[in-house]
Amino acid sequence: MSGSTVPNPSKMSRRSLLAAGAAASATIVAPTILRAQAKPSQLVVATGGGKLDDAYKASVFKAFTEKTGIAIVTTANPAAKLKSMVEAKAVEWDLMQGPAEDFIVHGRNGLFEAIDYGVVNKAPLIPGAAYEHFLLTDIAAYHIAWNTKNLKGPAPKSWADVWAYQGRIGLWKRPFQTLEVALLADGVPIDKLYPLDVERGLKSLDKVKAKLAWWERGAQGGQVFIDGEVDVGAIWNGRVHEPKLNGAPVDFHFNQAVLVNDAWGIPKGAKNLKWSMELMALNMTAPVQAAYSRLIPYGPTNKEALALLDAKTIANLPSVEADFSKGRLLDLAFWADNSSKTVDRFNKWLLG
Amino acid sequence: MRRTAPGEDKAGWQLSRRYNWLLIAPAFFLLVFFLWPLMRVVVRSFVDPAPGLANYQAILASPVYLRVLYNTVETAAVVTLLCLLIGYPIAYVMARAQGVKLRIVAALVVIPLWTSVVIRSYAWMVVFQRRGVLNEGIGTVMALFGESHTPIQFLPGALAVHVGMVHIMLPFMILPLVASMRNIDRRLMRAAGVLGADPIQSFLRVFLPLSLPGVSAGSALVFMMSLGFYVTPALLGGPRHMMSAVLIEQQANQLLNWGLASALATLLLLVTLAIYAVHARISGVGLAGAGGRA
Repeated sequence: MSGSTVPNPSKMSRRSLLAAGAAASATIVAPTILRAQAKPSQLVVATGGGKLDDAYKASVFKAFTEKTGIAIVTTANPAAKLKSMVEAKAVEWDLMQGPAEDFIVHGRNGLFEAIDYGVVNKAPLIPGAAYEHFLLTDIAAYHIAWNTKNLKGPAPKSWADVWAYQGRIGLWKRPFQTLEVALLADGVPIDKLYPLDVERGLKSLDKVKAKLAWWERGAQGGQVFIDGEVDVGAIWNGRVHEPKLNGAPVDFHFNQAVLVNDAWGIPKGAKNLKWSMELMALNMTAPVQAAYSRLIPYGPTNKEALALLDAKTIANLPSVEADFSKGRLLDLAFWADNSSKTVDRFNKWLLG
Repeated sequence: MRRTAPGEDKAGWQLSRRYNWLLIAPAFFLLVFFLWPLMRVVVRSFVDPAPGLANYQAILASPVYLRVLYNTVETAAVVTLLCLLIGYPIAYVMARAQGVKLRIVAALVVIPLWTSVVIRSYAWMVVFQRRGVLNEGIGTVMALFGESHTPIQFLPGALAVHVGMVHIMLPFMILPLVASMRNIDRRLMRAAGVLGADPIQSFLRVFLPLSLPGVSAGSALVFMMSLGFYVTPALLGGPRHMMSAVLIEQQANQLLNWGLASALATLLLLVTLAIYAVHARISGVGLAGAGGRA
């Protein structure tokens, strides 16, 4: 390739790259090699979309583009696509966001690159946020909620109160988190939840089976509380926080909440590994995490971020206690070891 | 028994051999983007994680998978029957209609197809819930008579699932039926009348048998599509309506257990092929596709 006809790849737009490629078709492989070494013009991040995507764009992606000049584009994040891309050795994503309980399994299956803790500073992170193949980036909650119009009597303080309520109870139709809640309702102390006693959890669910109204998807879950299709139950705080502010008849608290996390990982074979790791590192810094928590009611996993937030924002976050005295984090290792057989067992119970 | 003379009919539908090459591109497309991936799914069900029948053994040994497969077939069968009962009279009217009337009815049948299945399923949730349109409506009527109304629990339930799915599948029943009915020579009905048959007899013994290819095509289409339903039964149905697609999604997308997911998909494919074979026998179509002959 002659240097005079081809501009600097880092400043090339896709179109000029194509044009240059067409002009110098004999040496078409050259730009690919250059691109692997040089700064890319954009990174592709696979996310869950929706409000989460908006929050990332206005916090970490914005900061990254300002710092590096690299644009971020987002796309949907089905795990099946991650697996097929890694298997085919044709990875289009530079980074992926998803549920932490899935990420620990993907990591064990060799679908993620190892995190470089020389680049990512794990010192200010909460205990248990830094894994070999991924990082916990925020804290959300699966918590007690109720419809204020339907509620008769006092608001439920604990899962045992939810179980005792005479009315319809809404829960997620999956074993994850729902079994934790069932065990808490049955009186298992929150610090002795794991390893989960699956059979005891199902027996606890048996006691309320006639009152249960399952929800399958997050959007649906939020709606059944807002519409009063269920009276009390469990939902993620991201689904009811804003409706409550806007006057919907829902209320909730974080007592005995099961804390869940979004995680970020880098697909095995990602093409711009160095820059993916930089983006990962930036996302774990206190100012970026604080900016994110101001946009969406999920708590930071960087302890120093709390100092940057005002009291009003902090009041809306699931858990800010250093020891998680109100709730507790999902045990990822337990679910990584047991998800397959527990899903089977739970499905069998559902159908029985 | 056809409206057109046999010769004409043939001329209209048989492509001259000279144009067979036109089929190369679509055949190639199907081979690369449909048959090849499908083959890989079937193969994977036998080799992932280890060669053998382990995935199928796991399915056959587990009451969950068999029960869900049964649920799937049962739900698809009920939906097909309901679509047929509702769709047949509508198709009958459409087949006789002309001009503006035809266009209006056709629009009413086709327009719902333009809205996404997910949105329509959520819409049915709004209709059926405790404080939904239906319960509020019943409550208002009851109040007129001075009665109080305890909301009926439609969700989750069989009624909601069937209404939701029938609403989505109905056009796929009606359109093949109309195609088949429009090819029936109406003079045959008059001839039956002349020969002394009353309208019911001429319908049952002349029109209905002639419309069977459409019935078969529509039923096969609705049944096969219903087997793969995911979101509607998941949102509107209880645990009893768990469909195979839900299990396949869990295994394929969440647990990444592709061997088992492939085996489940292969079993569903076998059921589909069996239904197609039945349809092919009834209507005498080969690989040429449904609804072409009537």
